[in-house]
Amino acid sequence: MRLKRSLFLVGAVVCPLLLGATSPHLIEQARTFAITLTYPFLEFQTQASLFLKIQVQSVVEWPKLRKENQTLLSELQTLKAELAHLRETKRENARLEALLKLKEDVHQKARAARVIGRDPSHWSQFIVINKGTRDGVHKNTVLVHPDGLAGKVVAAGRYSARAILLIDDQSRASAINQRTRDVGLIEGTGSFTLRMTYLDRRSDIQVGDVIVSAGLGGIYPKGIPIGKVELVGGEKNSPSLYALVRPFAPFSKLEEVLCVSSQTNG
Amino acid sequence: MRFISDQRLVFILLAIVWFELSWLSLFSINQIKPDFFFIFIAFYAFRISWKRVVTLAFFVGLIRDLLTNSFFGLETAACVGGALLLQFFVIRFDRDKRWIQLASLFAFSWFNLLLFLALKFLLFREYFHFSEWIFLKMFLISIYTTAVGSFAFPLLEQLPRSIFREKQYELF
Repeated sequence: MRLKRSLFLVGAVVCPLLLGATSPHLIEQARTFAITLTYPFLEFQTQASLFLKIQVQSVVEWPKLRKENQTLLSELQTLKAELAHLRETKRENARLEALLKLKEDVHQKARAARVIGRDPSHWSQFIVINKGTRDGVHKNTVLVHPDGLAGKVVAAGRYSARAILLIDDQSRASAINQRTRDVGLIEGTGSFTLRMTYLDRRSDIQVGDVIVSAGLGGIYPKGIPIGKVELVGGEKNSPSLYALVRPFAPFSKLEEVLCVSSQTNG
Repeated sequence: MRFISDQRLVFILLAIVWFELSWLSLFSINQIKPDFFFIFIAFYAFRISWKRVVTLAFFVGLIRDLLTNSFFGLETAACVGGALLLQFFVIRFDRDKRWIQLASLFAFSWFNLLLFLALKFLLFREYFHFSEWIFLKMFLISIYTTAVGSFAFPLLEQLPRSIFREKQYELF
């Protein structure tokens, strides 16, 4: 009985680790499958909470809206006069917008996605987004927040994808100091700061410098803001410096991201 | 002896998975969040069946491994190791005293996190940055989990008797 229990315990610890070491591809498929299974519930819940949020907001804003309505009615008369002039401008604007959209489609194909799930673990930082291969989101699709670089997709299912955030300790991205053009490697630390390593000892990096992606790894596009230098340091015998960078993207409250990929279907 | 049916256990685990994936971020303070899996495992050990807690921890670990991005197996190993410690506490101490339940939950959370980090360090030394923050984070997560547990334990005990039976009795 004791031997049986010991064997069970050893098996329970060793078997999953062995499986993880020998079949990473199988594990990746299983994880994608798990996320695909949970996707409908998470998506439904996100939509439902969004709907409720909007409803609550409209109830709260009702008195304010009533007052605003009266003001707007008086402004309407003035605006009607301007309408005729604006019609012409609108036609012109539509033409220009179509041209701009075409230009954007050629250079950068992007899709907006909503964050529908978060990492239950305490030591890894990843999210689940509601866009998958059906929407042109694939492995290595880059996630960008309006404030800065957020991460990249590590596995994509048909309707959802799992993405690793830049602050995860397994995240790596080539980066460049916007002011001095010094190149280094941005690494996640598992906390709210990033670490920029392999900086030249002679580099003039200073606190407050802005770090952007260097685009050297072939995954992250060049020039996306990453963060601001908070501390510069270097070990005595090390040939390089390091810097602690405070990221621009609000990782703890990411709600929407832009998926940028060369593979994204327009 | 089974104090809780397997279907109900699966249902409860699914509910926790859903909660952990979608609502946990609301509880997050500077990346510190309580762990409802830990709370449930501890509650299961103290109030439902300490004999099956290692098996439960194994399945919880597998679920966590499937839902996270860490090296597969680390969460399972940490959960099983933590459950063994928890089992030790349940056997040795008075399991009906609330402070013992909460102290054990704290120790279980802390040991679980420590085991995870130790295994991660052994496997991926090159990716590992030891910092004071890691140790502080472990401590704060355990404190937060215990604090939430102090509310969750009485609430879970109020669940209908059809779901959980009242106490584990043994003849000595």
